Amino acid sequence: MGYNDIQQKLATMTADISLPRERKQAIWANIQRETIVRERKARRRSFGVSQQWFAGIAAAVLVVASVAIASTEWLHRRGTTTAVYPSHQQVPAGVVFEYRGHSNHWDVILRESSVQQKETDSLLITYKGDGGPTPVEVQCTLTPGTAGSQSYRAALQGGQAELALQSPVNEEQFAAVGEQTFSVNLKWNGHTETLKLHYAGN
Amino acid sequence: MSRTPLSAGEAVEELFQLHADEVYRYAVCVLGNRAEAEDVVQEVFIRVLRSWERFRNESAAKTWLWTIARNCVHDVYRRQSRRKEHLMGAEHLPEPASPVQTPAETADLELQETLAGLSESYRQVVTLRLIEDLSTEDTAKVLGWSTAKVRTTLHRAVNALRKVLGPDGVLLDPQTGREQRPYGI
Repeated sequence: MGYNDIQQKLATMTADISLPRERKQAIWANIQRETIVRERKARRRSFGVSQQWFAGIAAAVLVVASVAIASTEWLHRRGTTTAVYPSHQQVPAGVVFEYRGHSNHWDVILRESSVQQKETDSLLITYKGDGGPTPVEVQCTLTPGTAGSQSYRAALQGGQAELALQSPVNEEQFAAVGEQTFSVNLKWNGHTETLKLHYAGN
Repeated sequence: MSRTPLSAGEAVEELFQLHADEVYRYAVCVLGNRAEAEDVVQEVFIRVLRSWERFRNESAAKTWLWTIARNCVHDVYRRQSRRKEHLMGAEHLPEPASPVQTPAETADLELQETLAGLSESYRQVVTLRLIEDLSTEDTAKVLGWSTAKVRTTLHRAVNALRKVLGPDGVLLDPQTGREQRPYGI
């Protein structure tokens, strides 16, 4: 048999192979129905996937944020280390002044050992930045008899104690401070002592 | 007059009306089973409908359709082969052939006996080139072969068919070379 004969033979064998009309209609209806079903499934799957993505991204953001906060805190502490300048010459005799920054507040720590006669005086501490990126001005008053002053009173009476006073500076302000010099005024017993603190920034 | 662009559904329906029978015939020839061929037609056009947006007329619609059909048929063929292997492995006996009743069944049986000894690739190339009359180039695109491979495989497949059909187109037993009883009855 030649090539054309074989082709002819196959054409004869397959001549009647076609889809009956009603089968064709039924298959087309199935195709449309099945397409809709599969699209719905695909949408549900992609929604599930996007939920997973969202959860994954949220978790990653949380991790990054935690690390950022932790490192910011560390930087602040490190910055604090460089910013602690008890300027002994300028502080009233017997008072050791420390300045510590944290991620969301500042501490003023006074160590005082010899100035015992000032127990009724209030101590006013003001900070004022000299114009860094975000000048900061804070004023704290320490008055004997208030809760915060108890250890101060004890310090005054007992000669050696530590007092921490938190300044109401929020995190954003603190983070933006950068390098600047603060004037810290200690108003104490009718006279004012000013000391300069250089803050090296974060 | 310019024709209003068809929606994906309309375009695929037009393609379905034009080519569903061809895809069906192709699947029957390769798979040898009308019920599975119907499933193939359905699956092919579902895939066409789903990927219509990606098609964008970058290739001829018919070649693209045939490529999808080829992939579907190939998937089903592999499933069939695994099933057969499984049944043989489990020592299942094939069901006895039911008596031939309709002309369609008779024609199917004759076709199956003709193509029975051909491998999947022979069946593919014979169906596309000789039955569906695709060009060598289009057949190569659909099968993902070179045109040389299409020609060589077709040549071998035709030689194999010659042995089955005999000089007068009468089915011969490939083992003995003798004329088979009509339609295996």
